[in-house]
Amino acid sequence: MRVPTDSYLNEFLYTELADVVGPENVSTSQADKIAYSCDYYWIPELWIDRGRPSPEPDVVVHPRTAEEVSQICRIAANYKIPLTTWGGGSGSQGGALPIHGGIVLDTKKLNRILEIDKTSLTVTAETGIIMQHLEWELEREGFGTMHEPASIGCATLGGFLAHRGTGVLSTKYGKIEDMVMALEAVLADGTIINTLPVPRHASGPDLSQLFLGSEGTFGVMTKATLKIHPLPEVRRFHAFVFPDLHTGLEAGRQLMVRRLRPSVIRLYDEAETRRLIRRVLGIDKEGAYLVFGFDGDRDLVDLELSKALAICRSFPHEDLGPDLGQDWWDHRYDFFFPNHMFHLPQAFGTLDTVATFANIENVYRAMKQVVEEQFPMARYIGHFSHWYEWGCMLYARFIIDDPPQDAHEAAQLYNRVWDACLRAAMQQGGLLNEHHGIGLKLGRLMRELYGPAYTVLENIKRAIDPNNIMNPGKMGFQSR
Amino acid sequence: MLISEHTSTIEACRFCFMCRHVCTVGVIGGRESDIPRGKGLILFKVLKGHADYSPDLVDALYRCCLCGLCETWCKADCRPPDAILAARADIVAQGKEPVAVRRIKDHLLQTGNPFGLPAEERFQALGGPDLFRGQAEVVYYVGCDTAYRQPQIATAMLKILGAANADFTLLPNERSTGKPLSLLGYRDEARTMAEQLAAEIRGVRPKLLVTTCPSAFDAFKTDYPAMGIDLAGVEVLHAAQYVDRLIEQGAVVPRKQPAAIATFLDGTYLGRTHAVYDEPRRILGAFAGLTLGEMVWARELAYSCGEPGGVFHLLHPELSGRMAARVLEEAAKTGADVLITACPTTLELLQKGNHTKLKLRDLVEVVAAAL
Repeated sequence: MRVPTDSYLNEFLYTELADVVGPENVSTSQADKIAYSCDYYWIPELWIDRGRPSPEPDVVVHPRTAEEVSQICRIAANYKIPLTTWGGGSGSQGGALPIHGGIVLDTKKLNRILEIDKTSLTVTAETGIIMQHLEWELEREGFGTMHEPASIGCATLGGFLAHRGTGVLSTKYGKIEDMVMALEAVLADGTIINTLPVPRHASGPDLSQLFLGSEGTFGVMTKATLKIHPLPEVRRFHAFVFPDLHTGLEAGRQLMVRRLRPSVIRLYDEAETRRLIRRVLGIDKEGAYLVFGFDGDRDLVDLELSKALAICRSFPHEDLGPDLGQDWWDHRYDFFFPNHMFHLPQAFGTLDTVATFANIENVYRAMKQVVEEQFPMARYIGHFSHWYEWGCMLYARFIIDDPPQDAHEAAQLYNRVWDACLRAAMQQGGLLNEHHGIGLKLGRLMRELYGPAYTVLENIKRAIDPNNIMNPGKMGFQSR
Repeated sequence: MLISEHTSTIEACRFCFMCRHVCTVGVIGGRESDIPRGKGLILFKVLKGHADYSPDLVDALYRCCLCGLCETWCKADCRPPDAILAARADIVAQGKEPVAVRRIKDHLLQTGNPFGLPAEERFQALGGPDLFRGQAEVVYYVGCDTAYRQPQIATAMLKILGAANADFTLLPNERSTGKPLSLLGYRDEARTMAEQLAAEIRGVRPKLLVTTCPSAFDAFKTDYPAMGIDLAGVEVLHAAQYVDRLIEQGAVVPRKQPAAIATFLDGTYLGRTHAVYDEPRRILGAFAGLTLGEMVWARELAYSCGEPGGVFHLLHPELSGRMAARVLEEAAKTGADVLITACPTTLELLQKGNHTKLKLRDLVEVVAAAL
């Protein structure tokens, strides 16, 4: 259900919301309706570009406390209208889009740092804080969460929690779900709950993990306690070019299975080395560019670095040295400014997926084959940027330089590329996504990914949100 | 439409979030329409004819303080403030500016200041007719905010000019530079006002034009040349540059001060636009006993109270109050005893919201007190 735009019921909805958060924190401005109608997903960008009308929120609210969030949830439940949580709105999957109108709950005024526990090394913060602001404040105290994604300045802590985000230092410090100690969340009926205070226990399933990655469909996360780390004494990088991707993958795998603890490994395929590494870093090389880094105490870093160098040098290679690794670190966010990022009129998508070492190269090649054979108008590039003890993440991308002008044709082509690539990836043991989430973009493929297990997720959704008001239509859950 | 000259910025910003965390109004206001991306989306729709300048969109386009942090941060050379200024000029051309904006314009045209205060009261707090001379080597342009709201800054500057035995004058018919008008979208009126003021300045035949107001400084340095308005070759200096020069020449010698920690707040025009970063710090370094504690957000990344043109706080007092509170909080983290600015608008905004123990001073006040 949605309150019709011209109904006087909207006046009652507005009055009730304003009573909770104050009129200055409720907006029905056309400017905000436009600004909240588009996130970082290509389809709504295309719709804006082509001048087509996009779904908009009916009202945007800016709560400042969990109690206010609770009251807003109760109002939404009473009217049975959609409530979509919006952090930074910089997600690429359409997860924060108010596709059925209703209330957008912007969390950015839930932005306080509540406690830095220097004994246990944890920080407790409200989830609307922009991640870079949290990190800068921690750095003043000599600490960091070490969650450093390219969207660190755009996205909120809650956004990362909602779609299980990751940062460039994940190989040592983990994804956001590895950093979380505990959560506070508001359920669809307004109940405020807290998960257990530590993540390692034998007191039942981990409720924090239930909310992580739920993309606002199970409730609104309002507070989180995260692990923090002392700022490292040194952070050192080194870069190599290997003759081909296969060799680079094997070198990276060796770094991990020998149980070294690099904070970062990034391996770019031949196409990305030729294109992006040259354009952004000015490194003009053929082959597969690999950069890795270690951080921590100087002597430990030196020791691990020497072992990593020995591993890499045991393969055919060109040693680019530390400076060209440091360059990558210094310019790691430059890739995402408009002059370097893909943008309309191009169509582009990030097919980020994850698999074991046994499967990941097959996943890469399967998607590459799909693009090259089925979509000759598209290019395929990729890099491997988050490494685990058992495998790694593939950040593959397709780019269509000249998609159809007609929005419908362009969107249909776009979705066909996604479906074909991700089905090929899943056949080889890859997942739908590694750190951007599912959102609107990939919901239709969730049942294929999970099989019968998806019913478990659907049942949880029905139990926790019986009116289906929390971000309906995302993650493959029932639309309205 | 003038915004069509800014198509590349609009098309880049509409889908880019990379400066969200530094956008002053965005961080304080929290609305997606506050940040350059939101402005880009709105302007793209207008540019393509998919939306008109409705009152809601107009309000959003006046909800930017033009601090310039977005373009400082941008690695793609986008210039959101220029696109927003073009939009405001388009809005004015269509007669769609908000009533509050029009009221400021009327005040400026009728009284020469944005507050609507009587022109004859402009220099009331500064003393008698000996401030005015027909010809002088130095013209001190006081500016509206200093004259009407922070006259102690002008008093301090006059003391410095006196101590340096400068051959100086104020302009008896001083009015706004016109910059607030141009920032609000009234380009024609701004030009007329600028031409009138330029004629006043030329009439004194000075060698040097000095001001304590960064917005006026930028008007003389950037806007007037861009409009082809001739200042007859006069050198333009902000007071920070002028006093730095006087100290270097030995023309003024500040006395030793009691030990204190000072922190300096850079600004949009003096800092980000004209890179006058070292002069204020050199001046403060000339006081034995005064230690400078830098804010994390300093120099080109300095936080802003939204001082450009002195108009944002007139339109959005609540927002600018919170912006000032953030600056004060940041300054207090340095452990400083005194927060020093070189901008009368900023000083007033800080004074209004100061709940810290920080003393607040303009740079020239600090210098004058040590003479």
